[in-house]
Amino acid sequence: MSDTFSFSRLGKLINKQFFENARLYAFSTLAIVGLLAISFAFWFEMAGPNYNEDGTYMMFFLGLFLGGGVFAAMSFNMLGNRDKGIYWLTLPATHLEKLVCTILFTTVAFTIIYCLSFFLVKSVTIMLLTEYIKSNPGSSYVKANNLGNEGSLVMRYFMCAFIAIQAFYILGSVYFSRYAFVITSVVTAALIFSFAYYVHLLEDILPDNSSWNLVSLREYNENREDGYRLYSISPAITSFLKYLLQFAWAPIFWFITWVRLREKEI
Amino acid sequence: MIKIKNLHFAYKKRKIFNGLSLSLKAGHIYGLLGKNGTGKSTLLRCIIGLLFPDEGTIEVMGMTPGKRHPDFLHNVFIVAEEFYLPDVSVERFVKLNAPFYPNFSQEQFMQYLDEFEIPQENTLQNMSYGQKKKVLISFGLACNTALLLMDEPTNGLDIMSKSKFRKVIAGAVDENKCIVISTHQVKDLESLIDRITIIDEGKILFDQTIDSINRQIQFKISFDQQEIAESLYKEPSLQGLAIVTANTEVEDTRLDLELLYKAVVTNGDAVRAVFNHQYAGQ
Repeated sequence: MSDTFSFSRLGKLINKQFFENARLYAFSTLAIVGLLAISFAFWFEMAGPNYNEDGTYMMFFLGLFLGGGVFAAMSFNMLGNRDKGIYWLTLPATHLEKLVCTILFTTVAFTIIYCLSFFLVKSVTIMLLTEYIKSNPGSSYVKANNLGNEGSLVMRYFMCAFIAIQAFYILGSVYFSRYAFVITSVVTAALIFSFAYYVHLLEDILPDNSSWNLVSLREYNENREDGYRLYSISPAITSFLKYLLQFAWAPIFWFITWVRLREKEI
Repeated sequence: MIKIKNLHFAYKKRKIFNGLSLSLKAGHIYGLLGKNGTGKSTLLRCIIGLLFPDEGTIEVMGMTPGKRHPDFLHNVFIVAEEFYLPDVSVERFVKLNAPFYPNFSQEQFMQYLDEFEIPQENTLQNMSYGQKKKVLISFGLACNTALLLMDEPTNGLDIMSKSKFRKVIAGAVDENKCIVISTHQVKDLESLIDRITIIDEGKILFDQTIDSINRQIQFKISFDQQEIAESLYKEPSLQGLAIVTANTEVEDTRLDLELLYKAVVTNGDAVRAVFNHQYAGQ
């Protein structure tokens, strides 16, 4: 019975993970706040006199992806060390419980802490900026445009990408016992480059008078009434593929991580 | 408790076990002896599921260790030679880890800490290696797992602590528990273990109970040239020549594990012949 997923054991794992690493988490939070403060100070110095809130969102995503990647790449660094690996692998909990606990800390908890830290530092910066603008009439602060639904869609894509990248770095931390962040980053860059090269090859193969995207190909033909011939995947498959591309990466990477954890030998 | 059949294991190209078979039962303290690099630690890691056999099977309490199921893991504990403990107080360490072991006894744990005279006000990282090891041994014993594996447990312990270790271990074993101690410090295990298994080059070189050894082998100082010539192993000592010889007269002598180990390693066939002769005679 106790070999299946147990929420009670997961709770004990979370408790153990938190208190055994409380000092690391406290210093990491301070480091995030410190780095964000430095970034905002830099923005304050460089972005003036006409400040635009858009720049802070760039900082938000850059920090989220970079910090998240570093943190996720450390997820299973204990497996690169025999002593720590034995301590971790012989703890009576399933590999899935251990993985879920790790995801909760590296992805969920990190995101919450990062967002809170960001908005704290941002609020303080904007407060100081408002005072600064009052005493410097030549300067201004423009809030970001509310993009409405489009904005929330972009946010959703970014968050999906963030979770997928986090999952990939967690997987990297199981594969690479040393320099997991650097090696996973190199692998990511190599994969992106390979994909770009593949797209480039596809463009060479496809006719010159065509344009294409993931699910359709439009071949222009002046002899036709509508001016082009359209090849496309059915709408059902298209929406399924879009859904997969948005949401499937992280579960796939988590699944591979789980398999790798089960196979891990120390 | 532990059934190992035809175990083959290699680190890349370095073969460690080549068809090792072994059976260990509850109610005993097993001493796993062998030279450095003969695979003692590897065997313990195979038994607890940290390494997987290339061929053959390992069954512990009817389960496959490599699956690392919680039902299996909460019934085994390993005190590794090089181990990790988090930077927390002893009290917090217990609070965080004991809930994973259903048979953990706080009372026993405190008793072992007292026995080992461990100061509890320090965090684990501020303790010496020996103190940390004693905390881990105490925790492992207090978990009351059916199987307790110890890899060089006396390394880093001072003389008094080694003596206390023997006392504590001797008091901890019962008919449901199996303790396997791997060591090359054979002297530390005398009077503690009740079965000795010597591994060399991935094979079981010798596997006998202490009772059987006492019946078949004598350890003594001898000046008798004929006895010395017929001995299984001899080495000079301050008193004379220390020899290991067949116990043909069924004399009671004090077991000297170090001499036995040397006799088995240097003259294994002759030592085994003494035991085979016993079985043939029965």
